[in-house]
Amino acid sequence: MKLATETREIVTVAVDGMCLRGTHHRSRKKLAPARSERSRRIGVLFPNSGVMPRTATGDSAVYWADSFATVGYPSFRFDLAGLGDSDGQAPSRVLDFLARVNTGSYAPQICTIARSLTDRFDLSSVLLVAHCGGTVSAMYAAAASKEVKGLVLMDPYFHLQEAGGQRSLAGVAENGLPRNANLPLIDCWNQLSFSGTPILVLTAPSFKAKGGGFDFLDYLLSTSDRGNIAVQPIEDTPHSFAEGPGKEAVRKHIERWLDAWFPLAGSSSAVQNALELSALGSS
Amino acid sequence: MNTHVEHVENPLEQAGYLELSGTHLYTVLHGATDPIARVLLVGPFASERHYSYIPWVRWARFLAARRIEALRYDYRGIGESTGVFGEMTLGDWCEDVTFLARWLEDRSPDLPLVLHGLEMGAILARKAFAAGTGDALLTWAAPANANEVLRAALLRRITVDRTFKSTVGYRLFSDYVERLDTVPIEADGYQLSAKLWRESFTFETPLDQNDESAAAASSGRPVRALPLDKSAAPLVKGSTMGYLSVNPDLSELFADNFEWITYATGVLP
Repeated sequence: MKLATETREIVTVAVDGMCLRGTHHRSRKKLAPARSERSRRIGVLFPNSGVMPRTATGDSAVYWADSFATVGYPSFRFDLAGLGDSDGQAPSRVLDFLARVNTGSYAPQICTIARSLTDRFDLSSVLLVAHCGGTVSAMYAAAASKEVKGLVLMDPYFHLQEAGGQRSLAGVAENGLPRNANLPLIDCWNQLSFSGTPILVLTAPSFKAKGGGFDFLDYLLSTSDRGNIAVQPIEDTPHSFAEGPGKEAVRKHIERWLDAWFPLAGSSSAVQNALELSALGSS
Repeated sequence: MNTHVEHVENPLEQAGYLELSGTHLYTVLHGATDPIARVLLVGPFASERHYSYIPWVRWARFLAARRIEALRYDYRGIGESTGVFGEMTLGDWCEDVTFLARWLEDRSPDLPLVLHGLEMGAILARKAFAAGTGDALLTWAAPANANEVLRAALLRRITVDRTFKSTVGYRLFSDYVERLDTVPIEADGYQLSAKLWRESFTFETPLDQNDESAAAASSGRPVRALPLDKSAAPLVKGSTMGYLSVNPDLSELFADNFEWITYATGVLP
């Protein structure tokens, strides 16, 4: 049994005595040797999408990780504790799992994985690409980690689920928000937004339609966007983004965003950014 | 080979790749100290894999903790295994089973080998068993044929499309089947080909599905076939539609089947 193929290898990270298992998609683009922090590679890390194993629905995470590795970004998909192949016990019910997610219980694991990967693979930093419940953990982790420098959030949510899974608007609003708002998570979002962390939000139409009610994303964008947040709707795809044009559209938008915010050393965007910085320095 | 592996809590649980016909099968071996038997776990198909994953892993760990070495894997073209799903045939997935059974047998030739299949995996395990592989066969929720599984995936696709009927239009199941004759249809993120669809109707078990004793008599080896229902969800009947359970308590099911394995293979823990 081999631990690696030409393009992938199995990686593990120990967290609290548990073995978390993941897959590393090796970057397939040679770059100039790293001479500075700026020219070191940035890694892309996928935590689980909800309770799905690290492949995600329709193996979409495998496809995206493979694609980003092909264009030069080493990519990693990890199973958090109790999920997929990792050690630990998942809660018995979805609602219990979501309760853990909503309080940020999985964030310390993501922070440890990000730190471990930056050390072991000599990365400058890590970006998180997360979906649904994974976006909640990703936001908590990004706010707490110095290794995480950017976020891609697919169908993020900011409310607390109730029995029956509905987004209830019952109750008095607090700070303009409904009672079921996840306030600690919104604090994280605000922290990331005001610190200038690049965030790409991808939305599927079915998710917007589901449950109706208060539009948290719209509200947060109106109060906190500092130009570092981009929102891109993906049409004709279900919430999983794995079917229809979703999978391909997600890949294209993320690659474009990566090139704009985190260009690889030597790429045209990197040269352009360097010229702009140099012009600023001499003015 | 450049690998990075830190200390793991259970060094007997190893994930890795085995090469077969130019692709890599992702496998996880749940090793046991002083094992008394081996089980090849032939899991469910495509998206059903994702929903059953957590209880399926627990079952493997349950067995390993009781000195039964278990090997689980992803079909070629699915999950962590490499290969292109749309290019795979049911024959390729049969080959996965016999290849891995042989690999397990070579590891410890003196130990009995049980083939254990879940849903589509039950058909694959039965086929390998009927061809002479393994010392006992255990199946859970075996469908009548492979088409039952593909049909369920196609129905889910229709449900998704109806969410977007303003742009896609309202089509009947028969329209989808007709379209499959000319172009692949994506279901749950996997491309179903016309070839796979046609092949699936006749891809059924050669052993009597409903009569364990007849199947055992014809093969000369112990056979157990449990139907299982939604009470075992998401281990079986998991789907993208409103599942509420992630990791249910299946200890009774596990204990009962563990007991059967020890009986069928003549080993005592």
